[in-house]
Amino acid sequence: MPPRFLGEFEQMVLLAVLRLKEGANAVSILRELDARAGRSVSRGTLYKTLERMEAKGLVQWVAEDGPPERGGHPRRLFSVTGRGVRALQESREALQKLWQGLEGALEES
Amino acid sequence: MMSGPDPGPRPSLLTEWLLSRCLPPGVVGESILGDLREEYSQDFRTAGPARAGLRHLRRALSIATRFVGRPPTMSHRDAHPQRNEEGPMSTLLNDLRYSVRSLRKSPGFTAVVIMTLALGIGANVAMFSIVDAVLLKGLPYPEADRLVLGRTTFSGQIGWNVSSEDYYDYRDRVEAFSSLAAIRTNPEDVTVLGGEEPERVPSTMVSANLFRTLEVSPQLGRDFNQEDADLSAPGVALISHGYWQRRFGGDPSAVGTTITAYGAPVTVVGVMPAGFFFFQNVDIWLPLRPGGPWTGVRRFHNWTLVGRLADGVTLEQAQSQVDVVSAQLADAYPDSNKDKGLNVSGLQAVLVDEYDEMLLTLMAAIGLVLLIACGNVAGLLLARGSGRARELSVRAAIGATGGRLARQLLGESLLLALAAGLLGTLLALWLQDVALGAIPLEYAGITELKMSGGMLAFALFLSLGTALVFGVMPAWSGARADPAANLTGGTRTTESGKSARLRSGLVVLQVALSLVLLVGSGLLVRSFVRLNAVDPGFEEEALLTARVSIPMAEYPDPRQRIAFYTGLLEDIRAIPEVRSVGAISLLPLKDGYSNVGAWDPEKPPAGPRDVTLAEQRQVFPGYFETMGIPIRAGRDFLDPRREGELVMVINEAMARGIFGNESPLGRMVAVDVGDAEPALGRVVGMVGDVRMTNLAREPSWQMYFLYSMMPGAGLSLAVRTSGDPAALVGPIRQALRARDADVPLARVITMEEVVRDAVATPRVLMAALSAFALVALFLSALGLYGVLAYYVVRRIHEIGIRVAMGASAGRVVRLVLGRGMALVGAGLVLGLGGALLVTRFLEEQLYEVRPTDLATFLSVSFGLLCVAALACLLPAWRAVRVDPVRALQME
Repeated sequence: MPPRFLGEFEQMVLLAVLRLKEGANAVSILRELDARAGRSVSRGTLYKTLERMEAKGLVQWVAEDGPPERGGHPRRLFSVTGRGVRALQESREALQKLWQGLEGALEES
Repeated sequence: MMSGPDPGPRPSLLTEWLLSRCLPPGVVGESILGDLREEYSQDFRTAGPARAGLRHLRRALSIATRFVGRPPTMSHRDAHPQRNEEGPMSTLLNDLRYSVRSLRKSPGFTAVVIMTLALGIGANVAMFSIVDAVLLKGLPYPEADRLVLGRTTFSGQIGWNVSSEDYYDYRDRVEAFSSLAAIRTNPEDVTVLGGEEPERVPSTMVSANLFRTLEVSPQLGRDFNQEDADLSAPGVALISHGYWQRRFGGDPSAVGTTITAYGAPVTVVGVMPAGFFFFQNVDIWLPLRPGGPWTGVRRFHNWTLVGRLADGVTLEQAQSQVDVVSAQLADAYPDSNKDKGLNVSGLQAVLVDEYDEMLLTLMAAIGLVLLIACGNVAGLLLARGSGRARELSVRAAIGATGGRLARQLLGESLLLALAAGLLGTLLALWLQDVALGAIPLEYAGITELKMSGGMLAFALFLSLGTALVFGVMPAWSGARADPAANLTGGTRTTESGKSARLRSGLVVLQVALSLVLLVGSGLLVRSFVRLNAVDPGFEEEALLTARVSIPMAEYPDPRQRIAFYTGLLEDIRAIPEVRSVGAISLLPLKDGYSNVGAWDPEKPPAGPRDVTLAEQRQVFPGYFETMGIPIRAGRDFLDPRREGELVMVINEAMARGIFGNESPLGRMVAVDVGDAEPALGRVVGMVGDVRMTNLAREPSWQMYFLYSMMPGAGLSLAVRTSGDPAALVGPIRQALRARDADVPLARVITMEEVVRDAVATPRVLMAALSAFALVALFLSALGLYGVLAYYVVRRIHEIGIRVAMGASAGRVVRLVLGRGMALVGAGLVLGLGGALLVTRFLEEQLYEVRPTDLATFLSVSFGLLCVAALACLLPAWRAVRVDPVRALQME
């Protein structure tokens, strides 16, 4: 069973990974978060979050050889697990239920 | 994204390396490093190297602070966000805070440990500062490693002194020296007039280039120059800073004033800087002049040569150039220079040779004492660790890892050691002065010791080192504490068997080390006793000695000098307490030496190398009787007017050496007096052998002449009294003043003090090593006591049961004593083996005692056993008094 709620940053990272499809690695995730959500994220936070979500079974990764400018270090390509997708759906549903009927109130204010 | 074979720019290696230390190993860490590389090379292209570097550093820091010191999140079951987790730095601070708190809780323990270690560290640091100054640092002259000492060799045997004429030849012909200087080997006191009182001031003669060779300039006035070395030039002198202060009150106008020295006027041309010291503690330097005193004869060696190697010249090159000149001199002056050479050695190496063995012996000994002190502290910590077993177990049970506990215990040790190091360094500053007073180091150019960087570094090194030595074992044993056992058990299990065994092992080591020190000091004590028992050849009790020297300028005629001293001795003899008076040119064990060749005129030596040197002295009649030197055959000198020819008295060694078993009386002896032909003297008496220059050296050939036959300027008086020698000083001084108010009475000292001074160095070594050994013994006894006392507490149940079952006091004592003696026995065996290995390094310091002297080994072992038994008895006594009921109730 997926965790009941995802944190906001976890949701953003999962969505960025989904959007990037096969090309999701740490550098491209950072760029996607910056471009789409306007979030500049510290590297330490991102890596710790990825580690935590991996431990929760929300993301997984495979390693591939990177371009030469990586100095021979491998690159991890992240993907969202089925469990991660379900967790995103649940989070979205919970939020949508809360949002129902509130659009008008927000627009007026 | 660019791709290709070029790996592109690289970020700082150091940053990457540090970061890689923080990251989890494997692909995860590797890929993070790769990500940062990738971003760096993009930044490098778009923003330039400086910004790229900064950003890289910031990212690395951001990652490092999140990853360092934390285990990776492994599975979703324990996936708590890591709240309030401490960083590594704050962990360290917390440990440190905890250490301080726990040490403050037991101030007595803390104080004992710090004091013990501070004593050990302080003594070591003080000793180190001396070793550093003498052996490591080099002489206090610029580029001192280029200074060399020249010593005459006779048939390859290295002597010391060089003749003035040889000196001039070496100076002028050897180009390997940028400068070659000479200093008179035996300084002497010179009478200086011009102040309120005539005074005797230590003085020496030096070649005009000595100070330039050393590269030391006068702080005031000028150095000697080449004109000053001319015999017809006006007299000049350089004075020491100390004398300038004492005599002239530090007045700069002292330069240019005229004083009278050696009865002639000399002008002070300069003042040497404070602390300047070379070879001799003198206050006045006068220039060496060709044709002046102590010069002119190649056979007479009175000068010490000091040279400075020219740039780029090695010692070997200098030596081979010198050898060429030596060969030339041997050809030109075969009578005096055949088989004679000059040895060139590094000055520092030769000077240090005087001390290095003594200093290194003491350094090693004091190091052992520190090791023993560490043993004690380790024992205390182990015992304390046992007492804290519950505390440690509680901490382990609530999650502290073994490493964390060990780190904290080691931290406590470190704190203790650093505090001790600080205190010890302060102590060392004081001990330095004490040591400097006891060990005469002036010869090596050291007159004062200061705090130095090296000293501080050594203190820090010792502190850290001792913390490791005494702290590791308790930390290791504390980290392995078994929470379950410690929390459920009572007193019976509070000290683990392992910790007890460790402490016992420590005591065995301590006993062994103490025994090594005790044997060493025991050997020195025995040697010193032997040396003190050496018969110097005279009776030193109730003898007062003093030096009198009349200026040649005032007494140019030998008859005047004879009359002066004859009259003076008569006046002194008339003092009521005086039993007899003697006078000699150079007093044994005090005034240095003077030797010349002597032989049987019927069997002249084949060459200069076959000449035996004999100590020669001038005396007044009555000298032998006053000194208590026995006349073995013949007679003492008569009144000079009644001796018709050159007569002499020789000692037994010389008589045996020249005449074998025949009577020397009436025989002639040839004496080298510096002329082409030797002087011939008739032997009228034979006296006992006297230790002239060194108590440890077998008496050499000795011959005495009448003062009136070679009347020099100075004489040493020996006055035998029926009462207190000190009471004679006043009357003798009065008698002297009545004869000549300008002649001072100098170097007043009893003969007993002279003999005592002659064994000053062996005494210092013996006293210091004995003190160290006693401290070591005390510490070991304390350690032994601690272990046994704990042993009794630990087995109080067992003892209680035994007592309850009717065990006699004797049995209980035997139990405890047996345990202690087993430890001591093991230590003794180990220590005896160690001592056998080590004591041979003392061989050169020992006089008539072998380094494996059985009596010393046995008596020292026995002494240690007795002390150890005492240390065991107190715990044993406590064991006997154990109340079985209370012991069994204790939990």
